[in-house]
Amino acid sequence: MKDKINYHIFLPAMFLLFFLESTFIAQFWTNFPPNLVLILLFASIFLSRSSDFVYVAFFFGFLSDIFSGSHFGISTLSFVLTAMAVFMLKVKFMKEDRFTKIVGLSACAAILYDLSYLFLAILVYNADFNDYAVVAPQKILFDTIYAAALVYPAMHLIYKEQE
Amino acid sequence: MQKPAIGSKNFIFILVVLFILIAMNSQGRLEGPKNVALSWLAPIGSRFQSSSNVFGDFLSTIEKIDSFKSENERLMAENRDLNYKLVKNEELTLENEALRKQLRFKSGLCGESDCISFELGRITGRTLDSYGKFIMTDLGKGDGAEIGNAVTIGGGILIGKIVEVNEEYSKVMLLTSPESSVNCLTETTRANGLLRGKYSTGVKLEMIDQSEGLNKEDIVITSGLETGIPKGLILGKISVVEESPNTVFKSAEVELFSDFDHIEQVFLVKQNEG
Repeated sequence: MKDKINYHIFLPAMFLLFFLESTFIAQFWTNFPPNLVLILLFASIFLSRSSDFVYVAFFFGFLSDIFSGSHFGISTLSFVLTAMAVFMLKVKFMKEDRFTKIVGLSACAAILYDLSYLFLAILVYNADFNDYAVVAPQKILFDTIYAAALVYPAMHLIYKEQE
Repeated sequence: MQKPAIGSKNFIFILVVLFILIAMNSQGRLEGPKNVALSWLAPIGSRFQSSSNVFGDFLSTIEKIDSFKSENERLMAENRDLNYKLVKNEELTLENEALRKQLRFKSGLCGESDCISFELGRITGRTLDSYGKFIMTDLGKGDGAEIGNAVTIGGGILIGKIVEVNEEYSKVMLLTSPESSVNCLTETTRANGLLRGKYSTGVKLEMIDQSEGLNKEDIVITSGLETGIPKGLILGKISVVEESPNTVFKSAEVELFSDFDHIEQVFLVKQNEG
């Protein structure tokens, strides 16, 4: 069974969002901007039938690390780990594409991403937890809201009817 | 419904590749591929950033259109005031040069052993995550950028230092980054301390000895004790002094002069042998 993703829209949209994220959005949405690349990635996971999206997660995580990441490898690792965890949760709990389950799982995915990022920053790069503790709860809250609100529209954007 | 494949082989393969890349990066062996990727990414990012700046200017113009008249009057008054100060400053410069000659000091932007020069650069991108506050600039090794070099905006206002440098691009860690610390002085009391980034809460001046004085509104400047960061670059002013007899050190909240969200151009500060 093939993926229900329109790759002609999905991949250019990922590139466009990647650049918009590091320029327009970073400049005009300074407090807790949404991570649109991650949200579109989540949307692709919900529409995916295979685990090939893990390469997409790796590629865009890697670009983030090179272009603007704070510590090399953390974005890539967080992208890949979260993507894989979300896919496993989807396989286990989502027998059918239901709106409430997608929203719930998207929210969990955002929390998972933020926690893995935080954990890796502290574990791999010995970052001081206190520096992150001020911001982390708010960031997790905002990211959860963004993911829950935007993953479903993002799925519609890249959805492709199966032949 | 057909059950999707978990694909643990893909996952393990990706993880292995990633750990190899992280190991290579820590040994500095990833510079070549990163240069190639950046030379491809940064020009596109730069185009996006330019459009973003134009859009920002447009919005800012619309926002401020009502206040242009009063702003103009205020600027004219400020200009007159500055002209007076400039004349006074020129007089002092002449006097200073004469005194330096007598003391056999070097002139211009030179200290006892080195001179400072500035290199103009543009911002090509900003950090994607909300924690690390970094910006990418088009100042590379070719422009004389080195790790640890200070980066300022106009007026000698320090915004951060270079933490990663490639042939044509460099990554600047902003003062608000949690990992940032800059050795500094207060202008009037000459109290020496460390200015540390506190993410969204701004920056904090720490490690000030209890015997040192701290005044509200006092300007904080760089101390020149760090390699790559010359003395006298402006950081901000003290907004809140925090002192308690029970603590070993005093500290203070510092209000930065730079607005990181609206920076478009930056200056690399280079120290050359005089």
